[in-house]
Amino acid sequence: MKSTTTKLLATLISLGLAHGINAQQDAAAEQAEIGVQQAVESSTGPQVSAGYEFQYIGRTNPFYLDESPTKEAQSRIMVHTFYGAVELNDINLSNRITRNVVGVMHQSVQYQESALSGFDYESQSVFYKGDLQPIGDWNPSIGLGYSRIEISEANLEAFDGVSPFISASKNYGDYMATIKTSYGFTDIKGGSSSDADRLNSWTTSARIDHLYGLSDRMGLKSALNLAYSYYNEGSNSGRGDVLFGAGTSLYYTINKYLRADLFADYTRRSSNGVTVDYGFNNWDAGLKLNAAYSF
Amino acid sequence: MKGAIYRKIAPFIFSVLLIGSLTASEEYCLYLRSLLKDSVDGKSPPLTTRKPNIPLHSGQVASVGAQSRLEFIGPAGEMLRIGHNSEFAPVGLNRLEFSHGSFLFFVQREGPRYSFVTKGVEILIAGYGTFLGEIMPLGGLKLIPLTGEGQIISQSQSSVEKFYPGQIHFYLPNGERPPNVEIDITLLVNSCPLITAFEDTLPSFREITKRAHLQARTIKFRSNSFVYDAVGKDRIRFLVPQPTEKKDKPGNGSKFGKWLKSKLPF
Repeated sequence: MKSTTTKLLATLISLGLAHGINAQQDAAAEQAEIGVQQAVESSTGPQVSAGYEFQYIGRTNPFYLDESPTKEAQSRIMVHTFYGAVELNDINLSNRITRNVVGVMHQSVQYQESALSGFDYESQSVFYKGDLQPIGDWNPSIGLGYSRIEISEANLEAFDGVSPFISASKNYGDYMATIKTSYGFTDIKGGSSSDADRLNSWTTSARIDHLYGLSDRMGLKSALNLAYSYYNEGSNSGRGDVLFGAGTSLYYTINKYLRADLFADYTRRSSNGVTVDYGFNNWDAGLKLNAAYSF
Repeated sequence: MKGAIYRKIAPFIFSVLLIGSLTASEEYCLYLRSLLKDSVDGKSPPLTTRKPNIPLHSGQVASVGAQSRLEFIGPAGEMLRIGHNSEFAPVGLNRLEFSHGSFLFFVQREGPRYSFVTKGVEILIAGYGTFLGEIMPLGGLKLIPLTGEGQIISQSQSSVEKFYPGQIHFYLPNGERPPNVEIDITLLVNSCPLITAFEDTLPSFREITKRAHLQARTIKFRSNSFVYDAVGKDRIRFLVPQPTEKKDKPGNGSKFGKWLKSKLPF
């Protein structure tokens, strides 16, 4: 296919040269009757993409404490994320399209205050997401994610968990609404084995995303999110958290492969935790650089 | 009969003419279901006459003027939309002969097989689906399947080829077959009056949208030019957009631009 396109482009003759500009405009107007025909090349096999994202974040409450953190506990954070995904061939059903994506991610979080470097950690995730996409209707999805966290300095695994989810999303012009429910099976390492699953929880959330294009390359992405989590295991049994999030980012597409974002996010959690108050407020603001390539 | 036809299409009389041959066969005919004319002054609404049910018999010629379009229904529910500045005639059973212009054709899986004919070219669609077609300015037929499955049999070029939605097929009067070109279905659909201008939604519109959706996710390369026609085996002509002046940039002619430029120190 690529060679065909190359051959076609090699034989390209501009009508502007052949017949003059007026003829070209007339021809374009005439052709509009069956639509504008832009030559493209599409892939037929599974689509593989990979990328790297760098984030430099100023975070007011890095450890999500219920009280205002001391100055020592505040830090700028550097996050390096490497990811890859494979989108399998779509399955064409009678009224819908299935979309199946499998991906992996490695993330390294580094606190920029030297006193906090002991909290640096790395995490790995594997996920699957399957969409059943209708046209112009709600788009239901199912998925499964596995993730683990390791404390960098001690090479100590701290946590792993599996989380299946179902969700549905729908576009309303520039807005996208998503509702989602998931259950997290968790295993906290290193403590009492009888309480290792205390972060097991149901989480149900509603989210609205908005995209506002300022130009071809630049725009604003904003989101509002409200989630409720109910914990049902161990010392957390009966705990309920309400998490509210709002954020916006100004993105600039440098080229096909590179994008830069300036972002600010606010998160607030209130909780009815009995022994500990899990509520917190946090602001994140920073810079994000993303490089992605599709093979 | 001729008088009755003219009375029914009186609002379109200057742009749409059905020139009938009263001796034509009565056995096979298409029925005119919708007439459409764009707003003349750009302000008044477009004129639409629906379901006039005027039969177009084999041998009769339908000629469409500027900014007017027609929609016909065949005996098995097949649909034919004719673009502006077009002229065609059904000639015999399931055989449509075009002298110029453009069309959209939709036929169901169990529907009849149609032939499309223009000077030096005759093709048979051995399959079903939705197809856009255009008689190219220097002769020959451009055919774009949008949905469906099957083969296109070119009788003038003695070729049989499976078609894939989203690819342009060229058929030249001299028998040459330029390579097929894949095109962006979304852009085509959004800019095609034969799909969007009519009040009735195409029966296959959902399938077209699905195809566009599927293709949009797999596009890897996008040309900055637009396919126009083909004039030889290796000669496909493209339209290259002229660069346009951006008025919102400083100094490019807008008041704001001039003001901004006057304030800048460089």
